[in-house]
Amino acid sequence: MVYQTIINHSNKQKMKNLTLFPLSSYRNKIYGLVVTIVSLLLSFVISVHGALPLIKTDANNQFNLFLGVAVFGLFVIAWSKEKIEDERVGLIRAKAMQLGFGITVGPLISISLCSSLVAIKGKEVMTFYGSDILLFPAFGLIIYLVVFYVGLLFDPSWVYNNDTVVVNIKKNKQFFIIYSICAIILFVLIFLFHKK
Amino acid sequence: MKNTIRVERAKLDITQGDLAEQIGVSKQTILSIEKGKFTPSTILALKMARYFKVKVEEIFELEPED
Repeated sequence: MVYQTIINHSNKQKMKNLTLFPLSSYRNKIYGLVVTIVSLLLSFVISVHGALPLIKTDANNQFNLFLGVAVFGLFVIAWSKEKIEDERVGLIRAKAMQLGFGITVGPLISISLCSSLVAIKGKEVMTFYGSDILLFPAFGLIIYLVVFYVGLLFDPSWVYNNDTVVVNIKKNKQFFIIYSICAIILFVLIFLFHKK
Repeated sequence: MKNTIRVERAKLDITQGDLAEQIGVSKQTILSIEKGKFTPSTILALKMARYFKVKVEEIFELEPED
């Protein structure tokens, strides 16, 4: 009956685009970039010259504070539109988000499983500080932003298909080399920052 | 899927940037479609066909592996 009504009414159905999620304006990306750069510079200054006199706390706390603000800046960049936000940009964004999510959630699951196993053995359970937890969103956001901008700006290295990772690496070696270099640089940077 | 966007552009003597501006996408998107790296949505395909004043099937063609 309903089907017949639709047929009688019109043989053309209205179609709507599927959108990922609402993004903030392009201008916010610039604000996010400024916040990230300024915060990273301040945290670098603190790590070299010690605590700033403006905030009454020790150098370690100040460093963690500005690192947190820098991660917030990255979050703002990640959630801002591009100048021309078309369907190709949406696809790259979705793929980058998929990878960023997977890489962030994977270690979190393995760490929580490991801590549970350690607890079963009767040993002390792992403890985390605020600055350690900050590493997870930071890592996810950096992976997301690297994959997104490599896909956006270095078009030949991006593969838009549903093939497996191994097939894509075989098809496009440039893809593999660029991502490997970026991943190594990221791991080194995060390790160095965490050591501070 | 293969396409004849480059040929259609040449007929009208327009650049990738011109076409991108006319249908509201980035120049990179047109480049990716022309290279066969990115398959556009139905909406984008229809917009292109309307701009070139041809049918969608005249621009886009399915290949045996599709």
